Amino acid sequence: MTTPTVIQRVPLWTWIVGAAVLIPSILGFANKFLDLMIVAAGDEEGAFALTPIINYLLATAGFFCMLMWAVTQGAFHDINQPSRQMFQNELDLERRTAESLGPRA
Amino acid sequence: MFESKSGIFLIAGIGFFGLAFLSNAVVPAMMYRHLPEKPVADLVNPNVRYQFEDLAQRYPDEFKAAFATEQDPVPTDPQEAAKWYSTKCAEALSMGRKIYTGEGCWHCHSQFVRPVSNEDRRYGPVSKSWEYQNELQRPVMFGTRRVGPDLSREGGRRSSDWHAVHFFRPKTLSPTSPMPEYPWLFDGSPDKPNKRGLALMIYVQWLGSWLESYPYYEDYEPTKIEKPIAEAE
Amino acid sequence: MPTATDSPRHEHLVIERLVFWYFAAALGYMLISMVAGIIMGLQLLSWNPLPALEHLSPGRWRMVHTNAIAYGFLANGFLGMLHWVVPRLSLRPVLDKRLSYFIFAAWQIVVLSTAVGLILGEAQGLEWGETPVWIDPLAQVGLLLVAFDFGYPIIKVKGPMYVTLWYFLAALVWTFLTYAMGNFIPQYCVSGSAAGAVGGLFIHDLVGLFVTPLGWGMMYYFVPILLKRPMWSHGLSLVGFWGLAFFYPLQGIHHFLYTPIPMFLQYGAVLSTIALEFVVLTVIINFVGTLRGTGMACLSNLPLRYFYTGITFYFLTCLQCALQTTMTFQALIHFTDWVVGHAHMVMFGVFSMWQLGMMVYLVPRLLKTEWYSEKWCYWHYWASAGGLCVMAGDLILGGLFQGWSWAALQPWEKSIEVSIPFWAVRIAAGAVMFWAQLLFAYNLFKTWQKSPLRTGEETLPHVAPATM
Repeated sequence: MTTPTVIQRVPLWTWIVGAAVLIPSILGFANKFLDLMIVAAGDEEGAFALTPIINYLLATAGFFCMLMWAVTQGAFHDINQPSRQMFQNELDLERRTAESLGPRA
Repeated sequence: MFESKSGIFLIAGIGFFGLAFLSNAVVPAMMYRHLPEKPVADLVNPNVRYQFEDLAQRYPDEFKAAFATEQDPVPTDPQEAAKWYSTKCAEALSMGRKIYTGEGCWHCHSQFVRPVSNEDRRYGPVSKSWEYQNELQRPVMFGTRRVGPDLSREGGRRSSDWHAVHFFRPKTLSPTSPMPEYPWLFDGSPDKPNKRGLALMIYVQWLGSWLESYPYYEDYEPTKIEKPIAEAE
Repeated sequence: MPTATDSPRHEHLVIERLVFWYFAAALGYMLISMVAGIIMGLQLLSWNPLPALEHLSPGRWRMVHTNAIAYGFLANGFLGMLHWVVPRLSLRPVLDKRLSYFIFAAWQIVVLSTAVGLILGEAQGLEWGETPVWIDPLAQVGLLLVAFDFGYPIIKVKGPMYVTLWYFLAALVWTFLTYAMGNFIPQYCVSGSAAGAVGGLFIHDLVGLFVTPLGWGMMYYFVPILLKRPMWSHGLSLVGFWGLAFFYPLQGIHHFLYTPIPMFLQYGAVLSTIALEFVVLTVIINFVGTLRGTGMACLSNLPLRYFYTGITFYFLTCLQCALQTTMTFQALIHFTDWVVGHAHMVMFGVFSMWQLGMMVYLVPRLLKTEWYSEKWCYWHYWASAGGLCVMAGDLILGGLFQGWSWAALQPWEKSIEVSIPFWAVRIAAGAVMFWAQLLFAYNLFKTWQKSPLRTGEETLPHVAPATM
């Protein structure tokens, strides 16, 4: 099945909404990041502000490594299977219930 | 391991919970280990003792019925009497805290002053950790909502008479106050507080009494213990 | 029992009677909780008709309000839901049916004695854990039994599990641990600021590790079934699970910003709250993605309408959460009605709406008959959702005025004066919501009355899944 490549035009409002979300977020983040740099460069107390960030980065990195390791060990190869399985089970349960009631109804 | 039940159970269920407990509970507990928890007996400071003796003078009959019963009257020896007042004051504080909790006071009155929103100007000094390292803050009464003002610096601000009338019917003193009435802390009228009423009053008078800058007691001199005894007899 | 797993049948798996009992009990507590809320709401306006009665004291009933919702309504509703969902997903019955009946009875005793204890003035000084100290051990044992009862069929599942069971398995562990941590540690082990941190963690984990995983697990089960299609991406839902598991518990301290708890811990809590917002986005994207190509199903199907209303509110609350947890916002809105509005949006707008939607879907199946009045269900939806929108919006706005009034060092009375119109609107919205739940309860009663289970008719007509 060959589909002709059509360049889809992104509607204007997508750009507007995107800009409305992204510009304030980028500005806000930059502003706060600058704040943080100033705080961290300040006195000894300021350096403490960095501890939670470093802690989170470390914990997340460790977690990420474990995740990668799990993937190399063969996890997540068919990640949507449980979803399909669950759906099939539900259909079977409903069908059996309907069958058992069918003749009487 | 991330798809297995033991992974969910051990990593998400226990591991992450433990990690959060470590960082959010064990770390602060470790940081305050140099501030041991004070028992109630150590919390009776001269300010709150003064208030307790003041209650004994303002409501002599009620005080006698509540604390200086037949079996356990105020000792006549001044030294013994001083000890007696401190013991009874500690007992009243514990009871007061229980009533404060049970009536849900702490759901409308917080107990911490923040360094923002001009709170130090409204209430007094910003709260410090050591103020909370005691038995009467177990569990801590920070609170999450202020329908009424913060109470952590309330002690000594107003007289116990004021509090009695206010607990009995808040609208008498603050006409727009939405605070509920607590007539069950009294025997019929605001000049007859029962034991629960006295205990709650001393608890409120205790709040903030530990501060150096206890603002409304500048002219306070520790009362001579003989005075209330003489009056009680 | 190989036969049970080879061709399990619904009637062997689900104790339908018990599910219905749980729902009925849940609705009862919902009504009690709302009465308590109305007492407190009237008190704020000085309209309390019975102001001087010790056992009707608004201060005590305020605690009944929050506890009846958490342990009465939500917990009962979730237990009923677990009895339906877990066996059907794992294709195995719960550990023991007698144990299930025992848990039902025990849990009602726990909740009722909590209410009685609170009304008698025996509360424990821990927000949302006011359960008197002498009930805590009993509740703890109850939660352990619950974990065994439902954990057993989940553990027995072979191969990779569906995401709902991930959430449930974790929630069973978390609920037990959270309850233990919150109710015992600040009471007996630590005091002061550290206890405040544990208290914050407890309030937070109760929402994040008990209510939220059970709620999302429920959504991941019912939404695909009602939409008749699997989730848009099962993989993405697992991202949501691990994100919640990692970030949610780290945020407890954000309830007590600017307290004497060390600042760097406060920053940490704020940080992880904002991080969680991204995880929430993946979940929302997944649910909106599942909708793709189903037309207006999320509007025309009544239970789905409840579910997607809840999902919308969830997105709003989480967005609000990421904002309000910043130090800048906290300076203004902490201690105000903003927080109360936020809490109502989460507890009623999201989780109660989900549970009520689930009841709308399941009750005809449990009672083998259509709703007595489907029209009333629509009324219930609109009055609940509309009432909540007004209440939450009103309180959030009112909170801003209170915060500004305090920061401007106005006399305290001014902040009360400013709040009065907002409190008046709140009680009106609350009355509408209360009426809606009364209608729902009456509808349930009438439906039960005409149920063939009760009238003893021979034929039990099967209610097909797509009737509503």
